[in-house]
Amino acid sequence: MGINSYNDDEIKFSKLISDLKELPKIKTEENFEYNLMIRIQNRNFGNLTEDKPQYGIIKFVIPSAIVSIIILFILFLPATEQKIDNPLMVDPPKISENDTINSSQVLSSNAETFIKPRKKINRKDALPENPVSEANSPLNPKLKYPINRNRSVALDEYLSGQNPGENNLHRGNIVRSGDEEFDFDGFLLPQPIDKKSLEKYRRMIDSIKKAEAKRDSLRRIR
Amino acid sequence: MPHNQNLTELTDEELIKKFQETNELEAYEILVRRYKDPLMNFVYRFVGDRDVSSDIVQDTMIKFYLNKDSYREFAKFSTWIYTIAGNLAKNELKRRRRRSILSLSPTEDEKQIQVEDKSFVAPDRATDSNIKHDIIQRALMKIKPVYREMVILRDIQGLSYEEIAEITKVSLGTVKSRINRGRTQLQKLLKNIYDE
Repeated sequence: MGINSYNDDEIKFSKLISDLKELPKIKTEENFEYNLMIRIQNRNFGNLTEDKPQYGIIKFVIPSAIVSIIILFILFLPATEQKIDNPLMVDPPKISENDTINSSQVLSSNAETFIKPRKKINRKDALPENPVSEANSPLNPKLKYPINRNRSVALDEYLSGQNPGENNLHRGNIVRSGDEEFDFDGFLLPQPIDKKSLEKYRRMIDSIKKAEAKRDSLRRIR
Repeated sequence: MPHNQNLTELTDEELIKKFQETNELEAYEILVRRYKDPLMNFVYRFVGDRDVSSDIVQDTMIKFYLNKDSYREFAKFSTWIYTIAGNLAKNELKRRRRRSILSLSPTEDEKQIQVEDKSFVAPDRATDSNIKHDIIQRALMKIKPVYREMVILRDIQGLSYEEIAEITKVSLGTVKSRINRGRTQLQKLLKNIYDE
């Protein structure tokens, strides 16, 4: 009848429980209420009005998202930008026997010089896998006789140190790589001009021209 | 005067409702008068320091004043105010523990307990009731705070198991087992008194 179900435990500790109940009741000091009301009137609440910091999910999600985006940006973006083909790291193309051309075929081809205007070209289409080897290839006779001194190196002048035309810009142009066509034609051995042979060839050309003029006039008479 | 008389006849829950609705300070004062001493006794037995306990009870009343709207009608006012006081008392213990970790020398309380440990087993001294009360208080301070809180609320404050469960926010079974463990530890500490 109304017996507490925890009575068994309470019987076991009955002496202790009665001692605890007999402990003197501690009371507040007499001016407790007065002090309390003074505090309330003066609004002297100490740090009891301070709000506890809120640890809501949004407060964690936003900074963590920003940090992770920055990390991804740092890690992956430069890696994609740095994928530039270094022509010196590419294996040179194998030249098969069928691709070789005899020297007479090369010499008979037109050896006129050309100076190509610099143009922006598509890397995939135009940049040779190995520009140096391709420039010297017998398959490309036009590149065989470089004339433009800005795109070539005169070996004698270079070895003797008398290369007045070469400056830093020139050197840069020669070794430059990138999106533009490779501007190095090759090495050359310049020959000094022989005035006698030059006059001789001029006279020969003049006589040929005179002969041709005579031939044309005779044709017209006939 | 009859108005004040009426207020004193109101239950705790009616008084706080009045305080919430009309912000009437008299209702608040009556509740303070009703609970200041029980709370003081509870907090003192829990932290073992009169001045600190007085401050904690003051802070409890200030919290009650500031957060009166957070009280909900379905809860008992007594359990609500005991929860506030208990939380503040636990914070004080945590602060003390932090301080004792940071300081190289033991605190005054720790020194006293260590010295009293020897006297606390002398049965001849336990005859005097004041000394006995002092010994019991020191034994209380030696048991774990989770057990101490439960034992104080049950055996000193005389609250029901259900009320204790509500105040401490644990299940009834946990309350029962913690009280049992607390009493066992206390009995062990006070065995020289009870072996007589």
